[in-house]
Amino acid sequence: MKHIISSFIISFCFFLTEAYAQRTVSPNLPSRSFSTTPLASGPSVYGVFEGKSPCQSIARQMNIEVGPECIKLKWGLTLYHDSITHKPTHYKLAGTFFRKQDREGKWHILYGTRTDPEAIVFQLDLGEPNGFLFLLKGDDNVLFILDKNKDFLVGDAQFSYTLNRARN
Amino acid sequence: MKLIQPNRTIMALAVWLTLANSSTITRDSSVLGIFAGNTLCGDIIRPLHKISQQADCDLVEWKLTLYQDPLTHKPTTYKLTSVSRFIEKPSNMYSQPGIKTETEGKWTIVRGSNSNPRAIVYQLDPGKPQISIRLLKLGANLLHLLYRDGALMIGSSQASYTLSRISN
Repeated sequence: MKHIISSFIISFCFFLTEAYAQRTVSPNLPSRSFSTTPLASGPSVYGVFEGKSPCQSIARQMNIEVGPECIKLKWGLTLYHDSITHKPTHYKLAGTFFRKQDREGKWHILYGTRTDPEAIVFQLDLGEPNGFLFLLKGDDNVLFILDKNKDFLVGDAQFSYTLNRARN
Repeated sequence: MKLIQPNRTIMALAVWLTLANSSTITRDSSVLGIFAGNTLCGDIIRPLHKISQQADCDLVEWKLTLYQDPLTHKPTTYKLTSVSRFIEKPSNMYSQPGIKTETEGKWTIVRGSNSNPRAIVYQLDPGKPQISIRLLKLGANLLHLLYRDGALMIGSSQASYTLSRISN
């Protein structure tokens, strides 16, 4: 009987500990994507990042002609890397500018900006006439689109130039 | 004697008045900046906007005014105006007119984030320590919300946690 009671108490203590751990687990996690097709996954995928940004400034930067009605852009960026060395390989860029066909190309990691010599910057080779797309690695889950001088792009009251890691 | 044409007189007067006014317009040095953005309704930002954890909320529109001492430029108080919205079914549109709240408090500058011990972080203190929040200063014109553990808050394809300067 004593053994049963002791076992119950110990089990109950484990339960309380687990429940407390669940409450304190950070919910600051990547959100589920709204994509109708599953996101790329696996060891060769560095990550999938999504977001909405203002339109005009980045359109000018990428030499893409848009009308004044273009207020926002959707972005869906998949970055691939070597599954063993983790070196960047290629990307797929979907979104408002690439509705007909995803843009694909190579990407590289650069170090440093004008204001932060330790910054990690992803450079996507978009090809002509779009040039390069620079993204500052905020951390593993957040990227910031930069201008051609690798400075921050400033958003507006509705949208920013931030891409967020997404999950299936 | 040739009379001065009244139209030219009026135009000259208008120009003079404009120049006179422009020389007296000064930037309000008690305002560090006004930052705005649409973010998700993450759990740690809800108390700051007086949104209960159980409330249906999918988007928060921020307008954050940071005040400073006009002489020393040290942080003083903030004013936060927000509108929270949820997604209505079956339209999938954001609710109108939304729920507006206004809060005030003090703010301070602290140092260090997860990835950078030299980072500048703004801490908003609404009077209750458990609901204070921190924003990473990305640059002069951008702030990004930090989670409890100091990580950048992760948005989604719909909205991020970045606030952009909309006014000085």
